[in-house]
Amino acid sequence: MGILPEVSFSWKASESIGITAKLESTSEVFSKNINKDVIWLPEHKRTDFHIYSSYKLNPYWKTSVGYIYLFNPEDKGVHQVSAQLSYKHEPGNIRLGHRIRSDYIFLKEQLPVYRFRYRISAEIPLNGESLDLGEYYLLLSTEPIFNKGDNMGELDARCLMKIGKIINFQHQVEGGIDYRMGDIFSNSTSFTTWVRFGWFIQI
Amino acid sequence: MKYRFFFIFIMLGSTLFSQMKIEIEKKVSKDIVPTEAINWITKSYANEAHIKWIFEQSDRGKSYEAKLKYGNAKHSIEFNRLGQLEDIEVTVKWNKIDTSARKAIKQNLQERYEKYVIKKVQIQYSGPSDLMFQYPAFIDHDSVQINYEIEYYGKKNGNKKIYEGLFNHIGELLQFREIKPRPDTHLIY
Repeated sequence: MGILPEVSFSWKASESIGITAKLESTSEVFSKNINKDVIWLPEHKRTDFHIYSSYKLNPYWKTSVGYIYLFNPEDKGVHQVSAQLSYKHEPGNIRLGHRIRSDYIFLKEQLPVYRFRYRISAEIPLNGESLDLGEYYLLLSTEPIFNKGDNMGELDARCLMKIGKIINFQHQVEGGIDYRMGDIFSNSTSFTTWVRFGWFIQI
Repeated sequence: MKYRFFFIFIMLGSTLFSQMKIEIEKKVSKDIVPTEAINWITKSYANEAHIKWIFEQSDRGKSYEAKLKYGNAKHSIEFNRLGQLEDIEVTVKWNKIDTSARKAIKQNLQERYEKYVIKKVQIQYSGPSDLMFQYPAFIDHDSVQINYEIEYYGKKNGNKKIYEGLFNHIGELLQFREIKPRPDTHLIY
């Protein structure tokens, strides 16, 4: 279990092209020792820098490509490129976001790992009929992730529950739990819980 | 004098041409809604138990809205801060509005955009409150004004945006506003 703060900056390069830069840091706070006891062991695991460029096909559909640099104190840098297609719509009072993404992760002295993932997110207003500025929302999302690498093929999954607030059109904050399951169909399935804090800034 | 004309021109222009739609809606308790509005709803929608009261703040001012389902249609009844009826909006399918108005709206959108998609259609009824408490009996009455509030996606010169247009009963454009989308970074990345 650990903490995962993130800060994201987004801006428009043109009417259809948007840029998002995100910094995300992962630190473990509690971990299990060899006897499976939970112990207090604060340790910085990773810092990721993401940069995405998106193209708005229309107000609902967007395509994006991105580069992510994952800095891990042990392995040094890992490079990742991603391509995704996203769609958002509002059935009733809820806003749904769908995302299909493929990632290529370039590891040192190994074949690249390919990931294919689909995420569905629901933004549910907590104050009234619709989500307006200054109001809170609940964000629920789930994402199965299929990994394919050198001699491996595994399925991971992530579930997220966050409370957020749209402060204004420029600032938005979120906090919540990110529960991750690794290699679901094996005997060594891993479970990790991250407490996330996010600050989203529109420039 | 010429400045006065200039000012009037700007004011008229700004009412017709595009503005940004920014609304804040909050669900409120029935207790804080003006009595006049409660009485009107009780009289007009006597059998409707599930009524949501909303306090709305927008560039057009502050108002109260009662939202409910009547038959199969969503009704939104708007009152001013004193509880006087402003209008009734009924959400309908695009093909349910008057044929000639629909044709005129379609032509208007075709002329103004390279591509458009209708997203939501509301018929807006306004008139004397003592006449309008029997839906749908009043809709053909001469004193009742009918407008169409249309939410649509429009593409023009590379701009792809969502708008809300208000058209009169014969499909003439009265005003339109761009609907500013909320940030979506948290849904996408």
